[in-house]
Amino acid sequence: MKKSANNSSSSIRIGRVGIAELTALITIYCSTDVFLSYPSRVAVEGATAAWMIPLFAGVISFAVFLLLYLAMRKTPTQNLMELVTNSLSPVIGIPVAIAFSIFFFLQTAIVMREFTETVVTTVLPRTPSEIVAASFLIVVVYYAYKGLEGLTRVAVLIAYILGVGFVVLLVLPLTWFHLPYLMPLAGRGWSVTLVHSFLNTSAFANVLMLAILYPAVRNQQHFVRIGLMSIFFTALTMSAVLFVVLGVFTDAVSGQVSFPLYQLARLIYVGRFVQRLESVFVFLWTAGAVLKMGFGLWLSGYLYASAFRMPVYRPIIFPMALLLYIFVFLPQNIMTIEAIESRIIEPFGWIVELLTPLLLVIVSVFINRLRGANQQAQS
Amino acid sequence: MNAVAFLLEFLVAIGVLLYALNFIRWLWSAKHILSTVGASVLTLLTSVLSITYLVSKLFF
Repeated sequence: MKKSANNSSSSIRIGRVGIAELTALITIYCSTDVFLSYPSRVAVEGATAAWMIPLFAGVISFAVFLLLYLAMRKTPTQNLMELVTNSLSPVIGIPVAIAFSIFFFLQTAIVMREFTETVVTTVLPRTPSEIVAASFLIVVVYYAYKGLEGLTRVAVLIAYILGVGFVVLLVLPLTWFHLPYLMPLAGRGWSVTLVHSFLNTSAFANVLMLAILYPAVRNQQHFVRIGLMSIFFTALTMSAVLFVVLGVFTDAVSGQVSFPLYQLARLIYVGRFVQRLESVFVFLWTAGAVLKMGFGLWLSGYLYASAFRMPVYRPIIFPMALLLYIFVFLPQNIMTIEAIESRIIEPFGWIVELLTPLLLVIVSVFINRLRGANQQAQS
Repeated sequence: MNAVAFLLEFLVAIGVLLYALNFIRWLWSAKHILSTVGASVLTLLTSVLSITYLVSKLFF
């Protein structure tokens, strides 16, 4: 009989989650970037072929996920940090968990600042940023406090609404769509597109998250399905948004617009009564954003608590939330945030999200096998 | 408005830090030594940064 996730070496109880719930949560976490500057950044990198970048990046991420799964499937009760701690040493396991915690914490702070600035510049120009961030933070803390099960249940409820909303937002502006804007097909050349696809795997945190949440999956036989579906839906959402944005604005203009999806929603005009649907956009945007930030804070708190062998993670959510509020306002302005995104997170994020977990798991499994072979030889 | 916002942020920070200190006390009494270290580091970082943030907001 399989050992319960709650009885594994980390004694923190996080519960068990189903396939649809976890897929929805991870997909929302990763694809919410399309509401922000992600489409404009990728449009600059890939020009008319930018819509292909998420698809290629998704294929690369799925290949890494498969390798990770093949290595981890023999130890279904251990997540990435537990595997590293038990196979290698706590001296490696603890810093790795703290590093991942800091990574998700900083990512959440950046996303919160970006969403805050987006709200202030688009819909609430006279509201101070502190008030907007504090309003976000209240919901984010509540989500994080409710834990993984609460987050996944909300995610599966919101996923359908987000899905319908996305389709509406992408179909209605098609009256402005021009297919020739997507030519030449290869953009700045296939090699450039492939290089940026590789770097854009940073947008796919799916792999790292699944490696951390592996023991929490209720039916681990369907683990590959969660990976496949979450990566597929994330890539599809990003690609569809870029496809429509490029076809409506052209690649040159898309690179200049700060929040292309918001501008796309403003363009909608289907007769006198169906126009300017940005209010729908704001609803979807906020729902996805708070879920993303809530999961980021939860993940950061959980990783920190498990690094220090804490029996519970909930009490550290509050100090972390206060710290998050302070970190949100450390960068001077939105341009600094975008510079951090394009110069640090995007070019180097894949090292944390794909390379590090893959290397750690492979080395851990190799050492486990070596130990097993030695024990057999001795007996 | 600024004074009210500052006071509110100050009170929230004090409340959170007291909550964190209580958690550290509980971990210490339950002999979770590594956990106490982790919680203390986090609380210290939060205290220093929240005081710096509030002071910078007050004077700059």
